[in-house]
Amino acid sequence: MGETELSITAALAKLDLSEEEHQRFADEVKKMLSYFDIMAEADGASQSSDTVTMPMRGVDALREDSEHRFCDADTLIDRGPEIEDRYIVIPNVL
Amino acid sequence: MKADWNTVLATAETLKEYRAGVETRDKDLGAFLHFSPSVSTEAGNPDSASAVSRLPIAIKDNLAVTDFPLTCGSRLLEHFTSPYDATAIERLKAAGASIVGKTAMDEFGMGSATDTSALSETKNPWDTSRTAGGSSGGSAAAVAAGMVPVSLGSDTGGSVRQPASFCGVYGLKPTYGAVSRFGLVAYASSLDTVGVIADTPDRLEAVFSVIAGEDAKDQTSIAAFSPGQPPVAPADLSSLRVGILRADEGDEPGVREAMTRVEDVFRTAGTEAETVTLPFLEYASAVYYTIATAEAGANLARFDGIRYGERPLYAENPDELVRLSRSAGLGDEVKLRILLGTYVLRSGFHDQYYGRAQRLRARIRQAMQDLFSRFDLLVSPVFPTLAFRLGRDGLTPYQRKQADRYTTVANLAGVPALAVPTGVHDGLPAGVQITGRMGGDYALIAVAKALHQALPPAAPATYPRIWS
Repeated sequence: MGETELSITAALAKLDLSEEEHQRFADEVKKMLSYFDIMAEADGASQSSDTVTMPMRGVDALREDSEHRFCDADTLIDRGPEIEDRYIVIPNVL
Repeated sequence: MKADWNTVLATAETLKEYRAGVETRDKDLGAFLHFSPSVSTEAGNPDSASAVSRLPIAIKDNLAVTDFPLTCGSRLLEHFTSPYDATAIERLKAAGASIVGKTAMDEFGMGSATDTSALSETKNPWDTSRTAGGSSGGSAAAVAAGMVPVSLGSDTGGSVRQPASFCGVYGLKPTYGAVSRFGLVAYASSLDTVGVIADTPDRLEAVFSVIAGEDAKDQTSIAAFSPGQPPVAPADLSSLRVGILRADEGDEPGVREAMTRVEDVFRTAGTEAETVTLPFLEYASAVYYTIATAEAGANLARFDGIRYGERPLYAENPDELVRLSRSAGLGDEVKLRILLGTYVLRSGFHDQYYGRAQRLRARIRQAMQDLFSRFDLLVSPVFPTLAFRLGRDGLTPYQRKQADRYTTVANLAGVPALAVPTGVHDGLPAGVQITGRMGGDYALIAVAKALHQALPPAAPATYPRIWS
């Protein structure tokens, strides 16, 4: 991965990299990507195979579309860093 | 005469003794990030396994426990406490177990030595110049040093089995979906499992049988495990068909010796054992890191200083707030994996990396299924080395990733695997990994019980058992 590619990737990942970090991560990312490249050797054997995104087959991972009442709102609000009445104080938004 | 684990939290007096004992031991080890045991008179629901009633249990700091910190070993979550219990925790509490603390881990589970933790690096109770392993290093060290009899960890690519093996205790990565992931901070969702680390297979089983089972809050949890499963008998080794995946030439002598020791047990018992090879094993680590980083990139997007995490005092706009929070709060290993994961999913590179990894994952899963049509059990090393040295003399981060090949296979295929200690080599614990078919967790525990009888593990000399 080139310098520009790393910068684009960091921006997509919402990470600011210092110059020193940029250099270091460029090396490490490059090393890992060339390690990933060994997967290409198996293309002959795996080209026709399915892809697996989850370990189990045929599981319907969608929840039933039904309403559940969440009754613990106060517990969560109480944990806000700064509270006024039932409002959470947040930093100024310009 | 050792006191019973079920009594250490019985009275204010025993609690005081217990607290002092653990605090002394943990000073040199750094296993706990948070330790706050309390007196437990709760016998729990009588229908649940009584074996865990009043048992002190330590929890890896990426599992939610009400009013306990939930740092994931990250600076970003240093001051975060959980408002709720993970399902596994809820079930343990209902069965009368007592959660005594949270254990150190590699940041967000990303590492093999707890040294990517921003908060505590855990030392190995057998040799404090060495790592306890990772990422559930704190959970493994806490059990090995006799500070708790059982702990929970999480295993995405070996994070329960490798530290358990480095510390000479038992570590189970259950079948994917056997234990609800609700309340486990996600790293790589298609690989993540909640696992158990224990001093004996009996105790491991008692805790697993409490936490396993379907959960409406995790759509990938499976119904195959019903609560209250009675304990299984030690396996009859003579009736097993076992595939042996031999250690590589380059693996450490202690690792090869551990394999030989188990093969000897099988030979004595008259087990039908045969050497096997695992197709695609050489790609397992590359496949694992491609998929795990891709999923991590997405899962860790929530740590943005708005939904979760420390935020800077000032930012020009929301986008800058997110970038500043993440850049200051996340450690190097986590940033590296997020960068990799973001890259392998980018349009234009997706087929080259993620697509290939998914196809190879299918092949690996198929290879495991084929293997388990011929064998009941696969025996292999856990890791190519025993506990390595902390600091510069240890393995480099790159070497560690390549070394994950034996453990990652089980996560990629979704099958259960258990690290079993088999003895000590040059003062360090050594062990093997036993892997079973999908849903065969109790069959694995039964084999671990038989191996426990044949090769009873020792405790480290500097941390003799106070409680048993």
